[in-house]
Amino acid sequence: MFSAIYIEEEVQAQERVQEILERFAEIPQIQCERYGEIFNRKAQNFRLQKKFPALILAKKYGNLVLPSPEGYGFEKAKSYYFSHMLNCVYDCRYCFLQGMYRSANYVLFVNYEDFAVQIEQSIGDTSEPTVYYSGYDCDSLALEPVSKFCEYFLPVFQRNSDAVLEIRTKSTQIRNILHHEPLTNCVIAMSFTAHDASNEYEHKVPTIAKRIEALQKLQKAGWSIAIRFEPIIWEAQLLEKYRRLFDELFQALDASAIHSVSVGEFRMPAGFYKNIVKLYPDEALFARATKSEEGMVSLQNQDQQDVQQLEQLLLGYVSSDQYYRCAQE
Amino acid sequence: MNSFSNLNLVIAHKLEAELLIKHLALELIAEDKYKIYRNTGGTQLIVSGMGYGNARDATEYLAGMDSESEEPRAWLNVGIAGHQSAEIGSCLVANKIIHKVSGDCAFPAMIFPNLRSSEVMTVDEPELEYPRDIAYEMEAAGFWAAAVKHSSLEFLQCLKIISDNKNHSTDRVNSDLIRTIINDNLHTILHCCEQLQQLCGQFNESGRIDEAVAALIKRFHFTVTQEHQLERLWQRYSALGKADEFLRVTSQDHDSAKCIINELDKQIETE
Repeated sequence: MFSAIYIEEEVQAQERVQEILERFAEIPQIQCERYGEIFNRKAQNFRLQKKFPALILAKKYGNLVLPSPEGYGFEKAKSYYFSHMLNCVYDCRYCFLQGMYRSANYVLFVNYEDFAVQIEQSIGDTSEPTVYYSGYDCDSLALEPVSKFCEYFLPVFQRNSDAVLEIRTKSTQIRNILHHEPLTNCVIAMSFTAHDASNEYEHKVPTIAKRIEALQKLQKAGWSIAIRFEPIIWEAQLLEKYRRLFDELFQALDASAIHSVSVGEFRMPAGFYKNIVKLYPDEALFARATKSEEGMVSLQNQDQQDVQQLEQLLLGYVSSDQYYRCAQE
Repeated sequence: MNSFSNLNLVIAHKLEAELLIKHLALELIAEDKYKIYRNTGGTQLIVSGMGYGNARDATEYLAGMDSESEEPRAWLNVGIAGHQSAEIGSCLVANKIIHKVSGDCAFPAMIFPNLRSSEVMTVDEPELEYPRDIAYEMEAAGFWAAAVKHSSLEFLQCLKIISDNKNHSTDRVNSDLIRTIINDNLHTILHCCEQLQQLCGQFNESGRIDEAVAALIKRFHFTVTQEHQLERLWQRYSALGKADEFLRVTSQDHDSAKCIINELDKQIETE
């Protein structure tokens, strides 16, 4: 699973860390002073590291809870995101993380208690409802058996029912969620692309069928679920391909009970895109014609009309109240 | 004969290197400053001499010989080491390299999953007390300091073969023992060479530019920027399965490098 585990000296004695180290006693365990010694080095290659990723156990300092990028979420309310982890166990070719970080190693920030303090402080700072997104810099659930993220953070939001938690994922690791009583202020948001794109770009990701099955289980157990059709990658017969996906999803689920459904185009900051092209010069997705607007790169054939047609198709399955378009990838 | 076209080996002493030289059919190609060996497949080996400074300078020297090539090479440092507890003749891959004098640390990527790993401390004098349960030797940190300037760190590795420990002091390390423990680990060393070569070879392959591009660059005057543009256009056409289209466009009559780039650009952007 990991080629090695690096441990910051400061967190070595922590119970959460010791549990992980005991579980992976056969893997080389290497001490470091700060995670940046491994994660932020020059002369390393994200693509190569994806072949043998390591886990880094670290403590995060500073602002642990940050305002969400504009257009990220489903509510117009104040929103924040927090990242207990950097990088993802999956290997989606379109993912912006490839261009954002130098390293493909996974950093797990184990000081959950500090995250909880800052989350609760920010909830206390405002009388408005607030939304907290997890899964911006990682997949929130994919490493759940190791991170036990839900086991710790669901109770935090259970005692803060005015705040909403969205857990963004493509993972089917839902056991810890199902062991918990459903929270009305927690949304499990699963991301999908159409079958062809999923097969082509979403390496190591659970199949669409498995993800739908996980959503069914969650919905049946009383959890609020959401669906994120992101990123939309323009291809021939896009509408037909999405029609098939919509049919599968909305027949398997209680569509009217879905918290929200969103569509987001393939786009990312130009700097990240440039880095990814260097990593994958042989990748067809990054050989396609692009356009650049206000520092964001998107595919050229992806015009507004296509997205609008897709939205119309989607609105045949869910109500407009449930729908929003995600402006930020 | 094994041949690792993208591999550089850095070894402190001729005694540690001789079996590899023989097995890889490496021939002496220079001996004025350092003894450097190469085989017809492209594998290179330098005998650095002992110590941090020698390992660093020799690695730098060998990298300088490759400076014409834009493709990175893999680097492997092989040598003997002492260890508090590891058995004589055991082979360890470095998972952390500490330069005792400076305190600098390096963290090689763990790309050999079946090989036992260890922290390695590079010291200036042979360590006789083995205070920690790690490997002690004299070159790894110097090797790393230079090699990391010339390649991606996933391509850099250090293999240490244990020659002495608490129960078997350095006094008992002689040429016979060195030959024996290197011989016993030859298969492992070669396997590591193979894995490094595979990783580096695949990486270089993904960005390799076709001969057709090189021929165009010779035929027309391309500025450095235009060369990069042409190379990227080739990569895009290839990635999209349109290499034939690239060749068709470039084989037409063109007045200049700029015309070629404009035409290639127009074709691919309007697809």
